[in-house]
Amino acid sequence: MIEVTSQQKYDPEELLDKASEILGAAITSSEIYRNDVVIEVPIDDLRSAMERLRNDPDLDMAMLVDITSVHWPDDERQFELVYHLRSLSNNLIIGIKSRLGEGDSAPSLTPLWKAANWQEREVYDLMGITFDGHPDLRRILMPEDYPWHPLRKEFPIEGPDFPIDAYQTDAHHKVEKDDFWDDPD
Amino acid sequence: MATDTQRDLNDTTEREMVLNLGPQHPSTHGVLRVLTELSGETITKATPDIGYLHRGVEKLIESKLYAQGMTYTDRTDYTAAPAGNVGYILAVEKLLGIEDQIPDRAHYLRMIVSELARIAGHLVWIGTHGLDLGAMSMFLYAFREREKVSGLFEEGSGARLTTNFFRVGGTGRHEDPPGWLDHVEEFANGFTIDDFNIILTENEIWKVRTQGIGVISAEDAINYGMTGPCLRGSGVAWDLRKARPYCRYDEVEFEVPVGEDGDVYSRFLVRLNELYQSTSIIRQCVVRARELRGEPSNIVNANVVPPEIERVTGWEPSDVTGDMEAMINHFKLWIEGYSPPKGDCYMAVESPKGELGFYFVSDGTGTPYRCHIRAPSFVNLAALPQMVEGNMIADLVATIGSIDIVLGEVDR
Repeated sequence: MIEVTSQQKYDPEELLDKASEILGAAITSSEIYRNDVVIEVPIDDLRSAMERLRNDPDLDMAMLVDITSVHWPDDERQFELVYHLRSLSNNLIIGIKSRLGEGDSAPSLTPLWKAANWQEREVYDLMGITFDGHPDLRRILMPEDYPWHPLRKEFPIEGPDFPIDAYQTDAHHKVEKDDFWDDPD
Repeated sequence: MATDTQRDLNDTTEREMVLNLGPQHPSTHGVLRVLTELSGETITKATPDIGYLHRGVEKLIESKLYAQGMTYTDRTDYTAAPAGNVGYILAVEKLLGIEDQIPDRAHYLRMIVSELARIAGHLVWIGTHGLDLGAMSMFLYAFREREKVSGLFEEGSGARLTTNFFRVGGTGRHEDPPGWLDHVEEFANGFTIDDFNIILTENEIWKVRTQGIGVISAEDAINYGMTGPCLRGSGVAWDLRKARPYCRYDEVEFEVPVGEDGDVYSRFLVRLNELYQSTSIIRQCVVRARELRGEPSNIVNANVVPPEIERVTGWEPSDVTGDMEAMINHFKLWIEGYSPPKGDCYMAVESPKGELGFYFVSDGTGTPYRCHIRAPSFVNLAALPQMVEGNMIADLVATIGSIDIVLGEVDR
């Protein structure tokens, strides 16, 4: 039986060196924050970078743990995709970020990982980022005819179609002929 | 355009039938809808349709203070709420950079509660899983035990289901009440999986219904990103408590149960053994927590941990106010919260369902700029079509039960 240990093959600095060695010039920036290694790659190189990290025998990043996205509306390229890859055999985790603007689409990772299918659908649904090459890019959490992407920062917390006077009562003469309440007489 | 989940149910050929399962179906464990295409009784295609319980938890957390956002983690995986609480707390502590300062006593109490949560979550699973497959009495045995765990949660935090256990920076006011550790130990010593073994493990009918059903290989499980008992059931020994020990899991002894066949029965055995391992961890932690009695369980950091409430209100009932500085500190913490420095981090814990990860982005204010919950149920459920296609329709229910999904966590 395989034993799971807390032994990590590389410490964060070594992992960052190793990733730089594999990806070379594709890395535009990198940092180690709170012991997490995070690298940033251009969106055009994302697919090949992920493939190289996965197939490298020294790293063996076999599992796509998580895909998420962050919206920075003030920036030129508004959307930031954040991926986390994990190596089970070497006990490593690395974060990969990539920026893209409104209307750009990201390469889908579904040919590499089946895990990308639902997680990319979630990002598309809630943030509105489209993925090229995704076999089934539909909304997953919101209704299929829902027009908005709720995790964008301009989306109000109560929803854009929330009636402003929903809390106002008869005393303000806003609600007349309410269908939901029977006339007391 | 008719999409996969909106297709006309009458649009069938002679050989094929489309069967809609859910969302209001008791064996889908909530509001999961699965659209199945059948050829005879064999499933040719299964399309899960989720989102019926979507409440926008991530968006809601982004509009609240860090301390307020924690309440939503009770409502994601509601069968094991404290596991979500502990994951959230550890992620915020990592973001604040105070994870090294947390006292040992707080860590041991968190571990006790995490493992109680694992027992509570697995007991719901084994009860409903048995019920789905016709072992009616299993439900009653499992919920009899779960009632005791809920009682311990109530004694420790005041709530049975939405516990909101512990606080960032330690345990908060959740010091263990007098006798609580004794009650926990009494439960851990009295808890046995013998009943479940007698009813299910050696039961011929149970074996026929579960062995060789819903098989997923180790390669596929990794490719789908499956974690927790679903991954271990396929033979991959991977447990974040061992691989990346958080709290003080590196100081207790326990084994990681691993299955072999990747079928429903393997996942069943893995979870059953985890129940046993959890009681062992609890017993070790209770001993350590007793040794540390009297030690602090919160860090000394007025920017994160509020002052004792008696310092604010006064120690005597006749006092009108207490310490002015304490009152200001208390007020500022509850109105503005604590502000982690700008940056982002990902922190994952081994919840009963798998890897529960929190990804936080801080912009230096008291509310998270972005909070993403990596829900294990959501990722594990994505593999359902692969696991059931080619199986019989009756096995669909067994497979859904063995993934152990909680729709509150799938839909968030």
